[in-house]
Amino acid sequence: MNKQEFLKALKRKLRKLKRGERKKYIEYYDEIISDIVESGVSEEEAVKKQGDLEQIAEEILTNTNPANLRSRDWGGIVLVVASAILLSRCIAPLLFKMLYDVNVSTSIGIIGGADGPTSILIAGKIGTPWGLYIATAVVVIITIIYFVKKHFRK
Amino acid sequence: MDRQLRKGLLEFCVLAAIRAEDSYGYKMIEDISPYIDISESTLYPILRRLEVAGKVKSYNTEYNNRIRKYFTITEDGKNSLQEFEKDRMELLKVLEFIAGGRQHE
Repeated sequence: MNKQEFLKALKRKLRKLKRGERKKYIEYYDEIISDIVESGVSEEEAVKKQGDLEQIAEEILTNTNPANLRSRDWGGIVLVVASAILLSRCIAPLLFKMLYDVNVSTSIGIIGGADGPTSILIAGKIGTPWGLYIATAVVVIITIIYFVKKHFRK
Repeated sequence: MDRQLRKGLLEFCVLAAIRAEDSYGYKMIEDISPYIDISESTLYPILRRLEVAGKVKSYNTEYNNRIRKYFTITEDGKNSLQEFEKDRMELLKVLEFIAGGRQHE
């Protein structure tokens, strides 16, 4: 295993850690392995010297303050579920209409190809619950902002 | 050495390793390992703990086109070492007691 593979595997094993804390460990091992290599050891050997990955991760996790462990993000979960429900409520009727129109056009065989999309557009406009669309847009945007902010925090 | 005992001592070993001059991970391990068993994966949690406790501080410098993190001892860290020095006589007595050296006196 080379250094990059080792660091990648370690990162996966440390996913229970908060992002900032995990980054510090990765940087630390990056530095230490580079230092060992510079002392005249091959990269493979330097990685091997670190011992068993499973054990390293275990040791780090047991020595970590619980405050630095990742907690379940209930706010995020609620936002994602709400977005999913609202989005499916928006898309489902459109999808249904599209399928229905396609069926009709193929079975009757009179309506031209261009009528399919056009009819969806018109049908969409007639029976559109705008409140639902606006609510969906708002919730989706809030969800995106929430996760972008979370990503850049710490 | 016993796990618990080693854990307690290692913190002081790390502080001692940066008492005279700032040091970095690899060098600390080189300096400490002749005296007590220490591995890369034991050192860093100790450094993090000491940092959170305000006994050491860290800063990054560039070395060979990569980042090297140096650790420096704070006043609190120095005080910890001094406290430990004060406990030394007590510790020696305990060690002697455990070893049973005084029984025949």
